[in-house]
Amino acid sequence: MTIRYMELVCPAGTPAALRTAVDGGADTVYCGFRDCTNARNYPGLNFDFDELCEGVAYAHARDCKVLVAINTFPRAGDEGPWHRAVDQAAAAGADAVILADLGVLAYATRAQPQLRRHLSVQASAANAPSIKFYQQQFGVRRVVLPRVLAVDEVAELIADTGIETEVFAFGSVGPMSEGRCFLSSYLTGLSPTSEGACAPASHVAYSEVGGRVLSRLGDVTLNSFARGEAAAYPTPCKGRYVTHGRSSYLFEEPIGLNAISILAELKGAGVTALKIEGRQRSRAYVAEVVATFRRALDALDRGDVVTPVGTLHGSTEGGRETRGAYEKGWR
Amino acid sequence: MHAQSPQPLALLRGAATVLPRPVLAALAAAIVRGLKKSHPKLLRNLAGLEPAVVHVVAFDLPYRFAITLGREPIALTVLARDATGADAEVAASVATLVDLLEGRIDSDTLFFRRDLRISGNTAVVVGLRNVLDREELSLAGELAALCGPLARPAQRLARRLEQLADGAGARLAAMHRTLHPPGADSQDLSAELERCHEEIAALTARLGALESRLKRRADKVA
Amino acid sequence: MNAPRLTLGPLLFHWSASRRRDFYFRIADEAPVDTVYVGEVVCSKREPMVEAVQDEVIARLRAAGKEVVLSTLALVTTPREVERIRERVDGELLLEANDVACIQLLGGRPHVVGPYVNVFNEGAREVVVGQGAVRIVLPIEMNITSLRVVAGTAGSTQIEYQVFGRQPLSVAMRCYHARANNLTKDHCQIICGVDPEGLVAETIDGLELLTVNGTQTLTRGNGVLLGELGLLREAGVTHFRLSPQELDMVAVAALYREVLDGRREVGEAVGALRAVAGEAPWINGFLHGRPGRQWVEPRA
Repeated sequence: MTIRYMELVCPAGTPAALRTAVDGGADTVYCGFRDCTNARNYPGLNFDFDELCEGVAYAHARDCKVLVAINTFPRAGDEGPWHRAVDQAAAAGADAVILADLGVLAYATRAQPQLRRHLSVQASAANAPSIKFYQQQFGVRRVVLPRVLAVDEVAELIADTGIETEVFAFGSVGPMSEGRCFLSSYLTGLSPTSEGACAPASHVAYSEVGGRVLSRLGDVTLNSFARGEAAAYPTPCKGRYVTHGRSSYLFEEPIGLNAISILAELKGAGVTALKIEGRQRSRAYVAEVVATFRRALDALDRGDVVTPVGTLHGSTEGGRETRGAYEKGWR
Repeated sequence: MHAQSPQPLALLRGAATVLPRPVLAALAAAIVRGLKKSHPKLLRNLAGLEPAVVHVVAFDLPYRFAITLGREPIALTVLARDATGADAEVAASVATLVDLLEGRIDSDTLFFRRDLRISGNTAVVVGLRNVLDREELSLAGELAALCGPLARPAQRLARRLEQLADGAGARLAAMHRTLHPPGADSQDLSAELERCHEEIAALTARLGALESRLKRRADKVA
Repeated sequence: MNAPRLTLGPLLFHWSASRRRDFYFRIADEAPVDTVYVGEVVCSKREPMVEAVQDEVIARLRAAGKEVVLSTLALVTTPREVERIRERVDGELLLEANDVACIQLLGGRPHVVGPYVNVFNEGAREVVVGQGAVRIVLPIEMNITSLRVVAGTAGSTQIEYQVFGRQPLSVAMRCYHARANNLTKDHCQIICGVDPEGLVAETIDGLELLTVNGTQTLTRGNGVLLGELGLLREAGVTHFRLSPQELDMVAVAALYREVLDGRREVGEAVGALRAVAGEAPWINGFLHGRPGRQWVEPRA
């Protein structure tokens, strides 16, 4: 399959960020409702129904699509908010919903059959049979691939399934299989899978001890930084742990994913869309990252040399970047 | 990046170092009142957050600011540098804080670089950041808008700044402009020119985006 | 209410072939469990060693009258891993699907849905039941309130929940066991085999927090829900899973069996379990809606 151009899918944590992304050259923006139905359920973030309607109007007027992430797993006995979110996304005129839970997928297929369904990275579909399952059972049109695959594996999956794929181009390096990691609830009692927040801010604390900053999640110390040392998000997978008497970043370093240097390879693999992560980030981040990727993609379309690596250094987690699992050595 | 905001930056730092605390407090209260008119949704959203007091500490100011969230009305007060009693505290340089307020810089980036320090209830800080980031704010604009209800302290501030900040002529003139009623701006050639520049830059960017979008659409059709 | 079933979940740690065989032979001969899950869940690189003794283990268990279920990988990415599952769907054994890939390959055949497939609610349960699931092992993160809903309205679908052993927290592409030993996954030397109970990871201030088991991360503490067996039965749980640890699992199974059958008081059984359950702290927070690493004193 030859892809002529790759779609740039950008985060919108707020209506202002949505406008920033649209104006900055996004082909598509994605957002979520202001509740536990999406995986970025942080205070002050996200959209209510009216804001979504306005956002869709703003984006559509500028030839830009809007996806709505409803990508957490409903609590048993309380599926209503998730079903309502699907209905509201349809009513607001969203171009697709991004879903993860089997039950929500079934509901959307049944209740809003005309609404395009994408499979969230939270569903952790990293192989051809899984993707086929979601295609056959729920008519899923696009899958957001987990950040665990190398470029050749991505190409193989696309060849096997013929599905549209969206891959992460910029954001976090998620070392764990997403949607099935219980580390955060192990420390806080709040589940990212159903409450929509990994390392919820309400359970994060920073304190200065002897010139070092201590980060804690729940009652557990995740890390200690010297002055001037780069910091990562206070998630359990980015903490420092001691094994064999030696302290290290056991799971992942404070480092961000940046695939800007392998856009041509991803295009060659047949990737449909590039996802920029960061609904939790400010619109200044959105503006900078979207503009940089827009330039790089336009250059790629023209056959020019893609923007050199490192231009977004300051925006990445820990201020360092990696191509993550796209390169085999990462494992 | 900071170069883009000399006016509010100098203003804030200038105001805070030069003005007596009561005047500064009146100015802060007036800013909140002004925001109520210019950004009603912001005030509603701030009132809708979890009740908490956030202290904003600028490394380079002799005072700290306290924002009371989660109630009506929202309060912005000025406290002594070493005041306590906050649920959460945010600390950075004035330049950084203004850039944050105006949405020019990403707080997570600052956090990764450790240019922003957070302590206390992190959820409160995240909520405040997210609610502020929903709005397109301009500190200079808010101050300029104050010149109606608070003309006297604002002018006094401008005068004091003029007296004190010798050598920073150009910057002061710019500040002075900001503090005068908006109508006066249109007569100011340099301000007009600046606006034109900005408009052209914005139009060029949008034209570029349109062009590439058209091209991609053509490619898709092909 | 049918008689509660006691099951032995798949061995998550990487034990040598001989140790594995000895373990399962003793289970077959002595442990009062109804069902035994065998097969590799964590890493396909371990499979050759696991399979070296698998046939004899299965034969011995079946001869002892145990139901044997073949567990499959929790994270499937390579075509080879897919093929290995495909080869098994037509076998005699019931499969435990730990990735949606397995459900797809089963094509409607009866199966068990494992705890690595997210079934957190009624809607998801209906989907997997529609695909032929006869039993669902609920994710360990599920609390009692949700569990009551999913299990309580499950009809004839059997519901299983882990009640003993370190609890699985995550699976990954990356091998942390290799990383902790300055190796990479592609050249790991199957280093996870040196730690039969996994590798304990402490916080920088000395709190033992996690257990690294190859690409899997487990809790440090032993999940012990002995005091909650009555609660779980009332909620609709039909199958009670013990996850193999490096301790006397026959004794553990006997204690759980006695409590399930009402032949022993919980308080007394707890005391007896302390004597055999090793040094790892006990935890049960997830079920009580608390941080998973906590211990909540169960109500008598």
